[in-house]
Amino acid sequence: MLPEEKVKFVVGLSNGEHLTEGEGVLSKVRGEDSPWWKLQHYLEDNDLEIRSMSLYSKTKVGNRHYHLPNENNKFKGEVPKAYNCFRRYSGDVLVNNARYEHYTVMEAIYDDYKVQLWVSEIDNDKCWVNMIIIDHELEERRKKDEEVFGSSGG
Amino acid sequence: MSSYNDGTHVRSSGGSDDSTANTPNNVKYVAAGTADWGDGTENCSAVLDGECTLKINVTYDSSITVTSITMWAYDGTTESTAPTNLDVYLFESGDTAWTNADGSAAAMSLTDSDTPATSHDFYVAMSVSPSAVGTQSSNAVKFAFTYQ
Repeated sequence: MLPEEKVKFVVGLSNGEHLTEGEGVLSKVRGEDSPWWKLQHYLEDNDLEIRSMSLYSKTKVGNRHYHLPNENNKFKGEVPKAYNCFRRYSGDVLVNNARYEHYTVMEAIYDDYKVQLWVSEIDNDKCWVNMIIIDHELEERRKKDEEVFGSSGG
Repeated sequence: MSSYNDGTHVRSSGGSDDSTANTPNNVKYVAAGTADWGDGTENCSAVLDGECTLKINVTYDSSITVTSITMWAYDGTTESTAPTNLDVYLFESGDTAWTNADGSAAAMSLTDSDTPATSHDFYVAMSVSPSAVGTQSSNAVKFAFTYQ
């Protein structure tokens, strides 16, 4: 079983609502869709979009809040065309006392690149920013594969 | 040395064979696209889920997808460094060829499991060839993935 995440995502929607992972519409219930997939269904059912995204966690020295650029940008950064949030886990298999790494990642998606913020689930005070150029040819090939095979192969 | 495993066992922390009632299937590297799991040489793609060495299970309390999955062997310290005195080959059930997964740059990619579920299984065959005599227990195998 994967460890419980301490870093939660918060999204602002195009109807003005703010939703927090694990609360209300995005509550985490055993056996139901994860909060992220509940959010995707909620967006689709209500024809909504994500307009802002942030992460928060409670740490030993108080609450931590991390924000991506948005349309009401405090620092006048470029407004993303979309947002995403995921968890990345890696760990040793085949051994006892396995070492592992665990992150919550949110990303602002632009036309040609993504800006990611990685927050450690092991130590929420540690975070990293990563910038990724989008490979449009690769994305196109993936879409075609999905059309042919119905799934994105690894 | 310089040949591939004829047996696969679970080793206790004290070094004894701890395989009783828990003996993994042995799948041996024969050539790039062939393996022997005990019934003679066959194509990797013919090795079934239940014939693989490892079943890796990712569980979560709510339904998640598991994507961007990779697996590789390393020296137990630096993920990009190949294992010490070992040559490690892996394939996922359904693959047509082995991957020489020595170090993170040579990681094997596994098929996305992109339908939300609380449990995801991955079946992997593993074959190893040592280049030195003795226990090579400092090495490790890493499994990495994204989930939502």
